[in-house]
Amino acid sequence: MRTVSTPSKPPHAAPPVHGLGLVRRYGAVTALAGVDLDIQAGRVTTLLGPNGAGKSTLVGLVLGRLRADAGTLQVGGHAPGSLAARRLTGAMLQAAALAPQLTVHEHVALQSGYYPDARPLADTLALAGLQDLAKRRYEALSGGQQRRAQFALAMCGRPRLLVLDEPTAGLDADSRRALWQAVRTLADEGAAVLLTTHLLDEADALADRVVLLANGRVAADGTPGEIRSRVAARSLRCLTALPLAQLRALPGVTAAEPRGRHVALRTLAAEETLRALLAADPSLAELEVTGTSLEDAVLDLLHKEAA
Amino acid sequence: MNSWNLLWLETRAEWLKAWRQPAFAIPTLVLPLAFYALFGIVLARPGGGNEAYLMATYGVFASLGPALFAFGAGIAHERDAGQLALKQVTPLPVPLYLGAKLLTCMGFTGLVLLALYALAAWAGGVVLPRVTWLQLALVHLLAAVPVGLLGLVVGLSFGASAAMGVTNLVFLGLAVLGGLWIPVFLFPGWMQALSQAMPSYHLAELALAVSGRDITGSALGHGAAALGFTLAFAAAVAWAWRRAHR
Amino acid sequence: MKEADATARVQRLRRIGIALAVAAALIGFFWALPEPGDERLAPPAPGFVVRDVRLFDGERVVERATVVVRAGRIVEAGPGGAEPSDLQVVDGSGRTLLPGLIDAHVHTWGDALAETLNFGVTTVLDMFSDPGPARELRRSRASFAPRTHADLFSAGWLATAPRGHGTQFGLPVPTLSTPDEAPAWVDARLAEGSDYIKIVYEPRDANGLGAPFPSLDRATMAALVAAAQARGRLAVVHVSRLVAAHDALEAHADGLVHVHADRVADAALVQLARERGAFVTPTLAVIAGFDPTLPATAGEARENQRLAADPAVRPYLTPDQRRGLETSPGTKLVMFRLDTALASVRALHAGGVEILAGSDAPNPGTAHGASLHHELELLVRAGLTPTEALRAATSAPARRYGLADRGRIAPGQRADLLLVVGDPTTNIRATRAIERIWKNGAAVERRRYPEAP
Repeated sequence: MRTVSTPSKPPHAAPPVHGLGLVRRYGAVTALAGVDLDIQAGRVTTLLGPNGAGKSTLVGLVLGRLRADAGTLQVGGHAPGSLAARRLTGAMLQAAALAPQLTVHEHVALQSGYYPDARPLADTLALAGLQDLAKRRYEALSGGQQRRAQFALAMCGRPRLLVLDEPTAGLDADSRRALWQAVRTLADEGAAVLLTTHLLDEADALADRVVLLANGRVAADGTPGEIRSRVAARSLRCLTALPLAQLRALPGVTAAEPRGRHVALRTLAAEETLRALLAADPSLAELEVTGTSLEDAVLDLLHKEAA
Repeated sequence: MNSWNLLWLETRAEWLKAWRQPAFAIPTLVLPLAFYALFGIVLARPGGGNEAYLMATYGVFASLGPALFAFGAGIAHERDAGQLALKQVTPLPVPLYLGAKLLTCMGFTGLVLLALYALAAWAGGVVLPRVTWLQLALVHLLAAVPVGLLGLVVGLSFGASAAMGVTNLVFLGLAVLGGLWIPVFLFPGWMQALSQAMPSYHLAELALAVSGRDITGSALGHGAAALGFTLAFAAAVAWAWRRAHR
Repeated sequence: MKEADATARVQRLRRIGIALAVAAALIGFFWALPEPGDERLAPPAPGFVVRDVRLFDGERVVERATVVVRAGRIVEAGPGGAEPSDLQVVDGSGRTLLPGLIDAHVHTWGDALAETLNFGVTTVLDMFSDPGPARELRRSRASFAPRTHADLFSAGWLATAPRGHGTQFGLPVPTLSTPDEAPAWVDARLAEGSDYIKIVYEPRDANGLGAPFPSLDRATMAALVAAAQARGRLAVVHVSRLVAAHDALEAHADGLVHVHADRVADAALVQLARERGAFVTPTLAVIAGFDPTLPATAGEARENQRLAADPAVRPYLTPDQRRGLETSPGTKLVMFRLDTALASVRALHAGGVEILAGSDAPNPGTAHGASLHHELELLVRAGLTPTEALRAATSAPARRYGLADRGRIAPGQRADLLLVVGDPTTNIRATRAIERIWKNGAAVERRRYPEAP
């Protein structure tokens, strides 16, 4: 009975990814305006940000598909995109496809051959949940199974750096959780994982560290807890007859949004808001006070950036 | 894994990819045979004495299909679908990847050539010394290299649908101006000048020289021209690859 | 661990096995491909009898004869022969049997040999073309297997100066400039398979006037003639001027493959030709096509247009041939005058010089096969009797060019035969009324072409 193999390489001096002052422009548009990026081994780093924030550009730089206009970037001590860098990188791209005519087994075997110290084939298939699909052609797989196959290719080489660009897009809840589990396992083995996602619950569940990009700069960088605490806000949810405008005028309230029949308030001073609310609306019902979710924190931070 | 092993694996993968698309593979293999059967056998009148001439030129024609359609347009399709991007981030050395494609291309050409030679010998009345058959086979097989590289340039430079159109143009240009359908000496002067710029023309003259015919210019000269084209196309592939990278 | 090694070894062995099998298959394939000498030629056709036919045997006329053909050869030819019962009989009454015609000046490529056989021309003497096809065809030339195209004898590449006549077609003609190069040049042609040597000689005259391209000089021309004859081959010369014809004959050329068209042959030339025993192939048909003064009366059809319209000829011409005959040539070569040429032929023939019939097809205004019949008509117009014209297209070229097995109807000869309706020995145009053609003793189906829409 095979066990999942343990990491065979001692820790290296060079960090998996080390980038300073990265700038990248597309004509008049500046996609990255001076970004520092350090990714540590054994951790899952998640890149968050709205569309156009520069996530794909940064991933492109790390993979060597783009070149920075300014700044330095090293992958495992090598130039990004060089053969040495690619030997320790595994990637799963957003708009990617594999040759439809080859079987899963053929794809993984071929990909494994590219790397100097690849994982045994059976282990890779097991980790990606593809044991029963090994002999099936890629074109005969469902969308979710295809994503898993791409994931298998990304990690079969036991890469020091694993770059996953929106890896769970199109996956159902079970497959998504299975992938999170696999990513966690790989990180525990010592791989550095760079993951981009726009699903904030995924970042919350998976990330050891969150890097928030907005307008080409790093708006926040820390663990999910640190991010959340940067935004010292609480969330109030209730059923109230008060109009939104009045709610927004309550002391401490930074935002008021309808949520179905309820209203969600964000406030920096929960107790004051609560007192004012109860005074203004005696018929208040279904009151909930919660801490800030990562989603809310991120939205807040983004609003701050925009302001 | 050493480079040779990797080349073998990658070539095998490319071969399977092409072979497992019968709708693609079979027309590519059959087209040159159909052309030869029509013009070299069915429509040929007796007493032409040109059996070996036709086989020499159609052998070059046979290398055009696999190189331009199966692999040139094929790599354009791979690029559009996102397969190429994935390959480019793997530690597969680029020369190995392109080398595997070229080898597969030569393999396909080799298959067509075997069928062509069999057809020529059995129904086309072609008779040549054994050494000549072998030399001709070598020239025809190597012809797949410059044409294959040209196919890669086209495939890497254009999107899938545009590549199809460009490939057709290149195919026709190489076939007609290369003198593969009508002998070059029947062309008007300006067309003859254009032929010199076609690698297919030089490859055909080389094949004809090997088959024992008198040609314009020397076999060595045409061989050098073919080699020059090969190097130029190889450089173009390197350039197009880097462009496709971004 | 051991298990993995074992499977790896089995895999490697399998791969080696497959590689060996593929290699063996490839070797076997190339071994099986046909080499020269491997060809299996079909056996000759069984044979047939032509009875009660007027016979022109290449030299003379026999009013009523029976001809027996077996296995591609003539077995009997003469009056009152027995008819073997096992052979198919062809009734020849009211018809004349001729030897298959020989066109003594053509240029062949493409379908030429099949086109010319369609008009009963069973052998052609090519005076300049790529030696490649001739080499291919020569492998089976001597056999008596049934054939649907005429036999080819060829000069291969002609001898000309750099940028001289013949180099303008974009073909890789090997040229030479000095007499020293002549022996090696001739050897190269013979190695390529040339049956005889053809030389282009178009020098400028004493005033510097002449053809607008370079020519071999007289010494080189003479060296080529000598080199060819030293190797036992005929040397024939292309000329278009009287002076050049004179020079060539002085250099002992075996024959001239055009009649000069600038002036009528003078007595000196006629005498020289007769003394040297040289022959002349006038190619009147092509001169008729190029003569800018024809037709003499406006509105009349040109010579070649009349040929194309002849109902005995037209259906057997390909659409391309019809087009070629009907269009006037682009260049008007002022010095090509049919009446001058006819007068020269008259003088040469009267002076005892041997005349051979050649069309110079497929130059503009000519068509393979059909133009040889036109040439016969023009030779008669130049003063030859129909029988003499027929000789010029049968026994004479065969004898001159050493084609021992053809040109005559006699026992042992190749059964290349032409059966025509009527009597061409009195009316030369009867050669066009072809009823049957046999090549190597096998009947050849005449091909008709529909009119183009």
